[in-house]
Amino acid sequence: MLKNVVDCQNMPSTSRLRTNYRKQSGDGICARYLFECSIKLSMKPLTSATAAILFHRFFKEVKASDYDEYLIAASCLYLAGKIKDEMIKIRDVINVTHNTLHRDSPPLELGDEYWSIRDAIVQAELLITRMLKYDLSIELPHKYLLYYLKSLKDWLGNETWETIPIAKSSAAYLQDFHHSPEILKFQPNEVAVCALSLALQTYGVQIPLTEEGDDSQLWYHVFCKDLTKERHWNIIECIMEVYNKDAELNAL
Amino acid sequence: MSSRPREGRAEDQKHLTLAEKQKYIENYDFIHCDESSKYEKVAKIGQGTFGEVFKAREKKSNKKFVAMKKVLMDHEKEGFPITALREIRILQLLKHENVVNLIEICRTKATVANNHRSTFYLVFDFCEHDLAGLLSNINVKFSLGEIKKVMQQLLNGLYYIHSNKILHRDMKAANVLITKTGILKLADFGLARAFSVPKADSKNRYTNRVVTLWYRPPELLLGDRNYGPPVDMWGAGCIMAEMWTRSPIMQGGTEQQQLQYISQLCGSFTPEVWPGVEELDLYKTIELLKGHKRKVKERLRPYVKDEHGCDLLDKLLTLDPKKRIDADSALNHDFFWCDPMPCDLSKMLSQHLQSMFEYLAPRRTMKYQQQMNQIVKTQDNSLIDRVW
Repeated sequence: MLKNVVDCQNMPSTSRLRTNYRKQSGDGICARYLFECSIKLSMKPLTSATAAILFHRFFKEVKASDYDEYLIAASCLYLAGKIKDEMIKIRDVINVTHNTLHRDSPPLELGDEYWSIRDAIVQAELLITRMLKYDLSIELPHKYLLYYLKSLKDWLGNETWETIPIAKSSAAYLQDFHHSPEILKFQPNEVAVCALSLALQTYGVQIPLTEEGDDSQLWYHVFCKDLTKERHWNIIECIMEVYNKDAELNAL
Repeated sequence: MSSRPREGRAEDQKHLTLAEKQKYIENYDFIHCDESSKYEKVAKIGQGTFGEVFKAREKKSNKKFVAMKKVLMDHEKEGFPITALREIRILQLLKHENVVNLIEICRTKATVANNHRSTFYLVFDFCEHDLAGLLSNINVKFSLGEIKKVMQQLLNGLYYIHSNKILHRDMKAANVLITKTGILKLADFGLARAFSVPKADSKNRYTNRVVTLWYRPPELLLGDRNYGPPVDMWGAGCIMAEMWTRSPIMQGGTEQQQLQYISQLCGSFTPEVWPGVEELDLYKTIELLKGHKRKVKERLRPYVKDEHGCDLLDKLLTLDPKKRIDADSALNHDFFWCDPMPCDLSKMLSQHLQSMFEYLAPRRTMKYQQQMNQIVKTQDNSLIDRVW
């Protein structure tokens, strides 16, 4: 099962099209950039999710137009590597973020531009940490999802488990939700329950011994007892909105 | 989230002249990160590889004292040091009476003078003493009850951090702070890290280049990278012995020498007393003393005298990390539950009004070091090349 979860890093929502980040604008464009770069840097999903949370939290504190979002994204990737003990070299961050912004350009020479980008990333890191009050212990929903999946596996039975990619798709929904700043509004355990719920609904899987219409015995109350049905649907809508936004970006 | 194309923003920024930009940076008000000028430095109280530590007074109250630890950023082309980030996150997690309290993180104003590079400080509650400083002052005398209180608080702190899955990795007397009211605080989490309980199929690979040499446990000296809380317990044992000997008990000059001292005190490293030692990287490549008997109790008894104390030391200074006593069991040891019971330190400390930090204290004297010579006196003359 763990393998399925890890596999979700290979199914990012970015399309086959190469986004031109310097031309295109729109909601979520910079989150897409952040994740594209994170994949090129071979970052683990937990690290890229951390970077995305840092990014959203930073822009909750400030006006987006006051800052270069692409620089902040690069700096968040670098900082997340440090936080998650998956240190990435700053040179790699610079090369990847620069090349993703300036497609097909050769790697930067070790000249003024390189050094000023490097300094900008480092300074932005100091800025981000301060803006976030050095509160860098980010609780991610991933561990909850893993635990919920483990708990459900036997209950759902081997056949369902092996034929329907519940683990894989719920992990993908969970990771993709990090594209949206809306994720900050919810608790990590709620997010995990809803990613799982969405996966179950996608494949029409019913949790054994629960009734669709019966509000008194919702399966996820075992995991998350205060999650109301309304809030649950609200979160699911937010997750689905990520894909609408993504389609809008692709249509531009 | 608004997101105009990058070019547009770059245009905007060009409207600011360099001087205007500098002024903007100088005057930017970080609402979550105060200026360090809210404190007034009183004295420097520490200096090490980690940087400088100052005692400072809060200007507003004029009474509250803090310790300010400068975040070393010189030559820091890699941005905020990962070690400082770890330290901050760990300190934010740990809130306990016996762990030093991080109040906030401050910055200096970015000005022309510092090339618009702020300096950052970790700001802690001030503690008057550190254990190394107290032990190096012959006028400070600990009764058995007071020693028990120190060790009980130290183990309480370790129990707490280990329960939170944190390893300190730099246990030593200088990192054990004591307030004037006798509350002990574990300090300096600059080398600390989170650990996970290793599973059979995935071993941890942590760096073994941690812990000050004199307090470094045998498994680290032999290159273990899959270690855990026992590394701190070894240090606790070294500190406990030091409560009586008043000076670090094994002051090796090199890693090899440190291993020799350990063997001379705790016996030779053999698979019989320490199953699995033969699998550690350096076991075969390093020359280890053979045929030494364990004599922790007999060597330390002249100093410690208390039999329960000797027994607890014996259990803390156990070679095999798997058999070394953990903080929980140590706290249940008879040492802490027999007369004289642990007793308050504040009365004893009130006789010593001057703050005693190792940094300020005179260097530990020859006398102590000669004392130490006796403890680790070797019987195998062929391997002595000790430099005192």
